[in-house]
Amino acid sequence: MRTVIATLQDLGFVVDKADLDLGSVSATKLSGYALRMTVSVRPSESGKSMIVRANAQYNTTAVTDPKPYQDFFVSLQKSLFLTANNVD
Amino acid sequence: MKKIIACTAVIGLLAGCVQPIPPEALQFQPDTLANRQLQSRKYDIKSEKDLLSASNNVLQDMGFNLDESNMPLGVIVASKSRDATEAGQIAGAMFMAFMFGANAASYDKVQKIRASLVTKPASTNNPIEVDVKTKSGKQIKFDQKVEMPNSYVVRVTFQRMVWNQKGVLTKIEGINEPEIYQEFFDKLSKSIFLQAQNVN
Repeated sequence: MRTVIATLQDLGFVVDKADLDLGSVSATKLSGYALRMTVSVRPSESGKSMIVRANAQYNTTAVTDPKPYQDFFVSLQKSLFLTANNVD
Repeated sequence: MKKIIACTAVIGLLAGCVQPIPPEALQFQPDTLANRQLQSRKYDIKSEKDLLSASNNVLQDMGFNLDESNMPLGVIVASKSRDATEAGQIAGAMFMAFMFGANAASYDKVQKIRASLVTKPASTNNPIEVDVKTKSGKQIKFDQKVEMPNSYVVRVTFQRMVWNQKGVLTKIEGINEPEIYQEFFDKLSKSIFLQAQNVN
């Protein structure tokens, strides 16, 4: 959950709402456009892994193109392994 | 045939109107790590709760109002609305109004600044090396981060929206000026010190 927030921050998002019990976080990126994402994290049935679901809206339209979602998950994966030694 | 061409052209034009999401919007950029460092600072403090409370005090000192908070996650979201008028812009608007009529004049009037602050436990620079063998017999090595006791990282991000005098949104942007982050963290250092001395 904290990694999801860190990834969103890395991507330039500002958190709107976050709830640990629900495992959900909403954030907005403003950069000449408004991109809003809600990401929810829940444990899988086996309990050994987590399932991350993301949905986005770009200005006033829902993002249905798979490419931005793939980009987001790639960024999330990188963030999981990226250790900023100078910061941490 | 002509009709088909005309229809295709119209559909093409309509499709062109819908702006696609910029490809770099959800990808890491070369400056991602630099921004992360600019927006983060490590503090030695005994609990995350104390750090969040000190951060909240700084945000309040800076005139922000709390919008959202989640203590177990270490998240605080705050915002403030302020005047965005600049003398230069008004002079420009007056010139435009004089030359092209009142409707041509536009200057920034109000801005809303949003801040989200996230804390997390800091980790040491010496991770534990873990060596595991998967069911399929594959050997995997990875670093397991070790959390540092009494040390937390604060990351703050700011963004702003600006409306002109007609109430039209003119600017939506992230704030990346190093001075702003520097100023915030200096204030936070002082706030943590004062809190530790019980001077509130």
